[in-house]
Amino acid sequence: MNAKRRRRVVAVAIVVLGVGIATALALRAFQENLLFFFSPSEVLAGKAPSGREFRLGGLVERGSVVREADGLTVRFRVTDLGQTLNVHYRGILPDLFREGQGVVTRGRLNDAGAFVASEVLAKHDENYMPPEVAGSLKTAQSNTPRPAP
Amino acid sequence: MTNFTVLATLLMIGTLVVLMYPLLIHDETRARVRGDVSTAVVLALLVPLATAALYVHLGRPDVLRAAARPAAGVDAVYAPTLDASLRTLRERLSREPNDARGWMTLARAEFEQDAIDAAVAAYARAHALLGDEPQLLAEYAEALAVQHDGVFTATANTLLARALFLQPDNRHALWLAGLAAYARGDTATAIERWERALAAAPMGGAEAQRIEAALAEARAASAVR
Amino acid sequence: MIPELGHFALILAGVVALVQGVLPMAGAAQQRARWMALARPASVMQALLVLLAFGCLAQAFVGNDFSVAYVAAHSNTRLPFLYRIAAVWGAHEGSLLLWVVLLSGCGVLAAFTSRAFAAPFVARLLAVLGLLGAGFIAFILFTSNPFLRLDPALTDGRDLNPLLQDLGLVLHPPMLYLGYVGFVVAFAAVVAALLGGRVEAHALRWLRTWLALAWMALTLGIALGSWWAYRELGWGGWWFWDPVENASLLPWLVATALLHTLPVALKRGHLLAWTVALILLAFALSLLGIFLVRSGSLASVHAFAADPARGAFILALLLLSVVPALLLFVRRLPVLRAPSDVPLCARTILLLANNGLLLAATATVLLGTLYPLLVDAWGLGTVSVGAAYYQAVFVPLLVPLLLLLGVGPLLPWGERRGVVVLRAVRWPMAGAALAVWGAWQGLASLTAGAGFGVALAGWIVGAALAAVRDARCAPAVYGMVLAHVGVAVFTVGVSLSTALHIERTARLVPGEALTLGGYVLSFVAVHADAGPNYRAQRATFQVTGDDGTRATLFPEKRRYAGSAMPMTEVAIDARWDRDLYLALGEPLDAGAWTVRAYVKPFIRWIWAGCLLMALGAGAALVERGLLAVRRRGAIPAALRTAVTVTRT
Repeated sequence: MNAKRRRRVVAVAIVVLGVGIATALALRAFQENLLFFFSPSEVLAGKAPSGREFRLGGLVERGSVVREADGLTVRFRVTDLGQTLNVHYRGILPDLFREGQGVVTRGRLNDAGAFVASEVLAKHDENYMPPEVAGSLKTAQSNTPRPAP
Repeated sequence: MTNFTVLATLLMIGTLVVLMYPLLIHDETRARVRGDVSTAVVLALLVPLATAALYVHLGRPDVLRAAARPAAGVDAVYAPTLDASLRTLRERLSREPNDARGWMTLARAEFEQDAIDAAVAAYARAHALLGDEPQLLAEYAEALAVQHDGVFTATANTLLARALFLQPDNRHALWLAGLAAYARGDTATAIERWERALAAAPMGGAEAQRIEAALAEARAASAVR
Repeated sequence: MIPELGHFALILAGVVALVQGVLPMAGAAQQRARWMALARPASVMQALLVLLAFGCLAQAFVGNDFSVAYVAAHSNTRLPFLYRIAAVWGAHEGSLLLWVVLLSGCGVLAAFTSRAFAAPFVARLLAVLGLLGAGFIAFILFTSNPFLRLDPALTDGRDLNPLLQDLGLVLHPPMLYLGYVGFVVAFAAVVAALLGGRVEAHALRWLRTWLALAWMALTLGIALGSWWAYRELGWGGWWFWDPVENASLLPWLVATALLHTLPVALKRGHLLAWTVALILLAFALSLLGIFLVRSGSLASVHAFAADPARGAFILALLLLSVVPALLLFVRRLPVLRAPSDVPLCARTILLLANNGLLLAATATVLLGTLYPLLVDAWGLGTVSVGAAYYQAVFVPLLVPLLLLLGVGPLLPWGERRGVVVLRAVRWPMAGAALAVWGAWQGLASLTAGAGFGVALAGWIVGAALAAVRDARCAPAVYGMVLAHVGVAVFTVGVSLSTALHIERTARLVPGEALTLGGYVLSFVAVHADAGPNYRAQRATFQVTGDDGTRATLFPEKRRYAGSAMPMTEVAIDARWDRDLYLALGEPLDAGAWTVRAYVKPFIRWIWAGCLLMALGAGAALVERGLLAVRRRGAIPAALRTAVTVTRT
């Protein structure tokens, strides 16, 4: 093996090692930060993880928004028209947060089974419903009998 | 020939001239290559044909003609034909009773013509076909209320509540729900509904003015009490 | 009539683009001079027609022609003039028209700056641009046509999304697209060269100009988008790792790698194949970005209507352009081999490491952006990737990159001894030490992370200054130095604003005050206010600070008339070393409001850094690019043989 070839082998080895380490680090971080999306029905069916963050989406139930005395802590219920789930959030709600409208929240379940949100996202314009929410609403609605008119 | 035809033709001729120039006249390499007449002819045929075909397929030359009509007197032009078109619509619906949009159009037209019973019947058909659609629910409720001399019946109130559940900022439903609340003396609810309706209404329009007037009246009434 | 004329002009432009794509390409293959000569006039004509179409659409906006569905959906009579113009590209259809305008405009620029090259190369270059232009015009006409009519017309339109009514977003799409288009031209040039079987040195030089231009525009575009998000989204972030943002970052990362390898390919004759591969990648990622943003597969401000037909069309365009180009590239690989007798020098190796890191960063962003889409497409559930992932992966990749940045420019080309690397490091070391000392003296508090960021910045600046000294006024160096200093400024901004920012959310009634890191924000009052197309609740805050700050801030809560959409308009007291950022939350009972306030130290440095990077690219452009086109005889013969490889 001549010097030139040896150098080349060393270079390739370094590159492979670097790429390997980077890939391993990236994949670990990736796995840790993957956020799954669930609807209230799925959460109550026990599908959501209890120890890690996930995203919860649905409609903000009409009349469910309650603000605590400090003015910053908000409680509301998220519904997929089948099941509802209590959500706690401390902070300023987005401009488009409204009762009866679609919402996606990020957070985790507490011991009492309520969802503690660290981030609340509302739809971006009047006609827009987050696609995840629209999907989960359709599933929930087909599972619940519609009230007769 | 309209302006559009003239301009489009000029545009086409200009384009063809630009494309013909390198093919027939200009010789960049100065190598005295002969002009490519056959390609020029093919292009001169294909480019206008393809463009015209695509434009006829995609464009709306009829809108040009419509725009050429005098804008004034539109009502005068349409008024005598309204009855006739209503008749055609009714006939069509008797043949195709499942056309929900048709029923809705008919209901609106009947409502405008003050044929309230016919309007309510048409709204009922549309509702049966379309299900709960907020705007339809609101208009249906309105027709029902007018039918009962301005009294919001239990049915009308249910329809409004359902419309607002589905679309909390439906202006029409908010306005009517405010009216219903005001009629039964619930001024606070009326004010709340109308404020939301006002927020959703385009600013400065006739609708906003109407809501503002109602709001002023309701606020005055609640101050008296 | 005007919209119809625009529609007609766009259709004609598509036909002309097709002619431009087919005949010159065939002419180059069959040595037909007349067909090749068609390329240049056709590209000019295509650009003029597209520009006419664009002008007609703009006129429809300015003249409130609500018989055009696109105008009726995105404008109204109360919309201010500037935003009516911006609304032309404010939504899907019009933004694609803007894209075609820029694409054909750059085609003309390419046609007239490539006079030095052989006719077949120019013909193929413009033909590829013509085919792409025809593809995009077809995309507009058949899936996203802005000239469709409403009959009967509306009396007033809806509204431009209030979030988009901002100067930052007026300029953001044109800049971003200009960047993408630059990569398209580079792609076309590479394909033309590969088709011809040779990649010539002066073509590479010419490409460098385009890439510098594209990179400059893309940098500015991304920075503008970030600046907009910071001010309009109301919570003080400047980068959200939103898939749409990522879509613009991906080609930027690859282009940055490219800017660093092109000189190697030019000077040393190495890495030619690698450079070509990067150009193909930058192009593919640009189109992928358009696919992601425009297909509606992502939910964001940018995605307007989900339409599977649009996604399928762009995907087809992407595959039809990239796959043949890749096959061609593989076939021509032997032609691109480097002369094997020139060994790699230390600087080249560092540049390769730079490329490796940048591509690793590209791969991580790509993974985070595409994975949720793929999972969703295969019906395996709905997932998203949190910002924490990007932070965890990006920082470890960027730190070595910045370290390299402090060494690379100091190594002389051709140097192969490791000792030189060690000796070169003394300048950046001094810079880092000086920077940390300065930060220690100047800042009230300094965390380890912030200190490290400042040290990295000092490291880069030290190296940049030393490079200026070494180069002894070789003007080519200034662009690079400016861009590197921009990176340093950016690093300071990111690390200090992240590490030292202070945030408070509170409930306030008029008369109360909020204290925040040495500042007192007194809530004076809220008044009703109105703009041309919105009503607002406008709050007044008096700000006093320990550092002598006296300011009045007016954060607003707006409600836009056309769409009834509420909007937070933040108020910012900006200074070179910090922003005081105030956003109004919701009204509560008894006149109280929720209020969010931040102190963001050195946050402006983020965008100032981007501006410097763009200026650096601009300086390089002015210095060599535009002039180099005319100095075609200036390439040494030895170099030409090193790079020019004839067909085998």
